[in-house]
Amino acid sequence: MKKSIFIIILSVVVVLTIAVWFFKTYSFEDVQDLLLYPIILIILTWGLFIGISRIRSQRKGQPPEDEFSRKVMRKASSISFYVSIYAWLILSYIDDHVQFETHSVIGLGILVMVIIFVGFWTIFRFWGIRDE
Amino acid sequence: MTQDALAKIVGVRRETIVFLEKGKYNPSLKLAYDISKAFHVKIEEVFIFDQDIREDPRNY
Repeated sequence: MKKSIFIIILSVVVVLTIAVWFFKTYSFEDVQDLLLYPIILIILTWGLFIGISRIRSQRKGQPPEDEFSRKVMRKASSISFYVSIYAWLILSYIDDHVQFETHSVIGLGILVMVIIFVGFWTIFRFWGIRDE
Repeated sequence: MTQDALAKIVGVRRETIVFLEKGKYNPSLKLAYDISKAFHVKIEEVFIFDQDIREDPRNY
């Protein structure tokens, strides 16, 4: 328990230090930049979490993924795909009213899809999957 | 038996055993069989099939 608290505190300190360094080093010209970096940081942290948990399982002699982790991945993928359709619909509606560059819209759409997937994955991973 | 030991025996991750214990995950028939085999008991002695939950239309 103490070890996990130490890891959480250390992670928060590292993330805050990186954030402070980022804000002091770079001058953000618009809101898009302000949003983009934390999102990328969240996605990287998520990837790191999956990687570390798989390595830990392997070291304990357990499989890196099993039926629960595969089910979480499958359910998160299917629901995030469904929700992403509506996200693209909203994005195309916004694009009609606010002029974005094409590559910005595509990039934003992909980013939104990733966020939706990571969100659902986190929900199922930590709240579990019942009645299936 | 520890969660780690059981996970190793039945070939799943410890997290899966944790979620099973908390009732947050329903195992496959194979996993349920493997767990009951690890404890040398019948499946119905380890897992309870709750008919009321299955009959509730909100669960579909």
